[in-house]
Amino acid sequence: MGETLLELKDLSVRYTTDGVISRAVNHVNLKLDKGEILGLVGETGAGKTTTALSLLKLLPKYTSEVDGEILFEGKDINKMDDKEIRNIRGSKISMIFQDPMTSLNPVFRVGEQIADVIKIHNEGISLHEVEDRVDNILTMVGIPPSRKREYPHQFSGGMKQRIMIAIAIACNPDLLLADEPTTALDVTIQAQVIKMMRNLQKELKSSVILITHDLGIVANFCDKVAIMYAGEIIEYGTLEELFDKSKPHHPYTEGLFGSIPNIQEKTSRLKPIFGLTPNPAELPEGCHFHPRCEKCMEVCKSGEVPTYRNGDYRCQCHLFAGKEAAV
Amino acid sequence: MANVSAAANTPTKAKKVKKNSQGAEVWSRLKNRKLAMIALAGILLVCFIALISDIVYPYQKWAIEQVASNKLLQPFKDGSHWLGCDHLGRDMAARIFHGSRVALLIGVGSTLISLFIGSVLACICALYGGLADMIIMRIMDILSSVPGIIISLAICSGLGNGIWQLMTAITISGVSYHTRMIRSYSLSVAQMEYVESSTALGGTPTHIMFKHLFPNIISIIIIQCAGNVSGNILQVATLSFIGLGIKPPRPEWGSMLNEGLTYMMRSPFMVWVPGIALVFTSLMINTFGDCLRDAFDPQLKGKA
Amino acid sequence: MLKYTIKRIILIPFMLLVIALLIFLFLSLSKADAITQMLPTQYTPEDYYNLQHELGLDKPVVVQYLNWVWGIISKGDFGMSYKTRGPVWTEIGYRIPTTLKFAIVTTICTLLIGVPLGVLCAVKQYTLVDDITNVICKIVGSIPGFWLALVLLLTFSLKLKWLPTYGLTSFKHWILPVVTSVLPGSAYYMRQVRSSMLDCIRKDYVRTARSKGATERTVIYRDALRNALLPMITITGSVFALQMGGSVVIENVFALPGVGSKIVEAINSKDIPMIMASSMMLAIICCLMMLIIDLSYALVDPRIKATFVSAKRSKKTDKEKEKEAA
Repeated sequence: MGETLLELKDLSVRYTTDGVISRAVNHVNLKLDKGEILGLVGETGAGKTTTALSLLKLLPKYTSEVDGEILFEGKDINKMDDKEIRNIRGSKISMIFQDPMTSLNPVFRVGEQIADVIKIHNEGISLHEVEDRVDNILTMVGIPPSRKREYPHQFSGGMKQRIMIAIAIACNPDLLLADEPTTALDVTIQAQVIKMMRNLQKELKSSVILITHDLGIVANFCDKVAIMYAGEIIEYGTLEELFDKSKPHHPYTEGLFGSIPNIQEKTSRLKPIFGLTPNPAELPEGCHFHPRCEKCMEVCKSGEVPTYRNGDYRCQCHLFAGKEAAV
Repeated sequence: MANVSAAANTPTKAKKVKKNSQGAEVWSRLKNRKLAMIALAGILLVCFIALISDIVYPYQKWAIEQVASNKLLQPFKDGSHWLGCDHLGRDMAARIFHGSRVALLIGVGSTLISLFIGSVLACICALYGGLADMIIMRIMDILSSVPGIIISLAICSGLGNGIWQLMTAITISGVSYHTRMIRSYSLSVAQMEYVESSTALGGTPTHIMFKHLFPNIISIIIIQCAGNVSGNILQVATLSFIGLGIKPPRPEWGSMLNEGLTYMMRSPFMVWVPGIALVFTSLMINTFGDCLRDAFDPQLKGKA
Repeated sequence: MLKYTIKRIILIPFMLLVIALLIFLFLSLSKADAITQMLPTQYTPEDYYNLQHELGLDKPVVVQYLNWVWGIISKGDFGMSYKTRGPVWTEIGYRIPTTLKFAIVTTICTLLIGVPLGVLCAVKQYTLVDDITNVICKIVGSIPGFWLALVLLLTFSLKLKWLPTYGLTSFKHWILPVVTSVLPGSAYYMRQVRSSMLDCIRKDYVRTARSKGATERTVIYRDALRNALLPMITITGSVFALQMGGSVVIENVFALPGVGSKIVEAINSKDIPMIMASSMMLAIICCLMMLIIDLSYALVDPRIKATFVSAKRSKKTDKEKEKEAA
């Protein structure tokens, strides 16, 4: 597709709590084009949210450390000072948070909370114009503008998430980070919200990074998919490439697909991945997935795992050794 | 990010302390806090003073007997009266030592009694609910809607002077606080999902009470106690100071300060000495209480 | 909201009646002392019974209590002082403004010191400022008010002779009593503000505010502070009650002409009607203040207000609109 909007080069994030260092994100490389939708998939604690927060420099100041480059429109976000990053937050990159129940400020009217973003990024805008735009945005997310004078607690969960989305899109951002936008919602509401987000994306032509652990949503929504495990992107490719069962995949990806039911195939049981996500303070040697991997080999237990590429597709697994050409 | 840090902490710590009880775990955390150990040493010092006061300064001869020649003797002038003597020629050090007994007795005693009454009332509220709960809680609401000192004043002036009267007054004004706290904590624990799941698994009320409710609120009760003891000691002193405390010859820090008020111009040490004893004791207990809270719940550290 | 207000206002007289009954019961335990104190040192049992009858103390306690309550309701009469044999009200009435003024001034000062300090400490958590303030607060919290008063008197009035020792006639007179009351109060208040603020700073909506591109200043002083101060309104009530209670001691040390010092005086002279009336005065002021604070809390917090105003309506419309949107 078109030009590159965002590029992560060797991004690493470490947290230090009580002298324990947790490596939450390790050497992540990613590229996102304008208008592209990337699905970032992984279990809880895989470092997805940390990655997203680092794009906005929203990580806790004193306890976290970010290495590597985050190039947004050619500028490194990691090196920006407070003022520069503030100009980007909300106007060029905005974020939809996981839990709409706690992410809205309970003491301000929802209209004010949307108007805030507009006022911050459009200096000297008239109040009348702000009101107009708030009404507009509320209509876009399917909330009657008359409700802007209500407080967050007067809305249901799905409606609150719509307001969160309204805040996020208020300034027409180039990049939208959606951090599990539907996890806290009912399944029926989830579908509505995802449908609405897709329509909005088409309308606004923003790029989106959708963080989720729901492969169904990814299949419905994304162009590219990156699978994250223990802070690394272990497999990356287009939606078609990753969802193509005839091709070989990273054992973890296979495990993820193995743990959701499929109506078309006849399987007696689902295949779960055994074990838990490793503790980011004590990551295993070698391939971080090897203790849980069914196809674990001697090479996996130590040393670096090389990345195998085929065009844009890449996979970080020893199983792919020598297969680059074949895939 | 909360997930990550939590995941980073729990497994390593859980491994170390898994086999120990909660008490041992708290103690091991306390041991590593220098401040906690200093405060504990301070508390033990006060307790030690209270214990040995009879041996070092026999009550009748030192704390009560008035020696006219020693009237308002300044401290550090006479080897045998190192803290000086008050307006009636009684040794200050002896009176401070004996006063610590009163402070500790009433401070700890009334805390324990009001805690006990409070727990029983809170249990009645939680177990029977409905009307009993409503009546008890309304009374507690009413009691806590006026400053505690007014109730204590009324009780003290009704019952007269003396240790037991003072203790009753402070106990009663403390009951409403304990009942409300314990009730609200046990209710919030009772609504936790693990209690629900235990009920669903067939846990009996007694099982839930001892297995889930008790361990969860015990830490809160202990922390609450620590703060309450020092509060009570200050309360005793306050009541004695305005003339509602112990019967006169018996030394008590608050009444010593009251006497000091009259002789403040000539002998400021009569204000300094008992006051410092009082502040030292309450500061040590408060500090230890704070450390105890941090040790019980490391997540709360640095808050409140 | 109106219903809630009315309910709260109706409740107050009942609460006061219960408190009055409690105090009355305890005080009646010392009626024998009170009578003997009024009699000359040499007295016959007849004198005792005559006086007891004269004061109405020979009737059952409940009857005495009901008489007392009826006297207040029908005639606004709080009884006769045992000591002066005059109406209690004339002794107390003129003292109320002093106590009230003092409590309000100290409460306001407490807020003025407590809020900024608490916010500062929360924002600068883990820095020297926070640590030092915390240590000072801990120490101040362990000092009894009356001793603080004595120490301040000793240094500023007696040693340095900067400030007067007693009375409330000029601005200078106010300084020491106010400082003595405000120090412990604001230490307590500051710790509450700090912990509430720390809670709020970590909330998700603060992160949302940052993600909007708001400056750190806006995030802290608008989004976080407003949420942090809501629970503080209730704490203000307890600070006010604390100051009222403290006034008993402070007024006594500084000899201020307030209700608090009258209580102590009355207790020492076993003047039961005077104790009753003055402690009830403090209780009434406290209850009224609590009412005002609770109501203002309900007005300020949209969540609480909504439960009184339009809980049903908004829930219903929300569901309907959800359907429409689908």
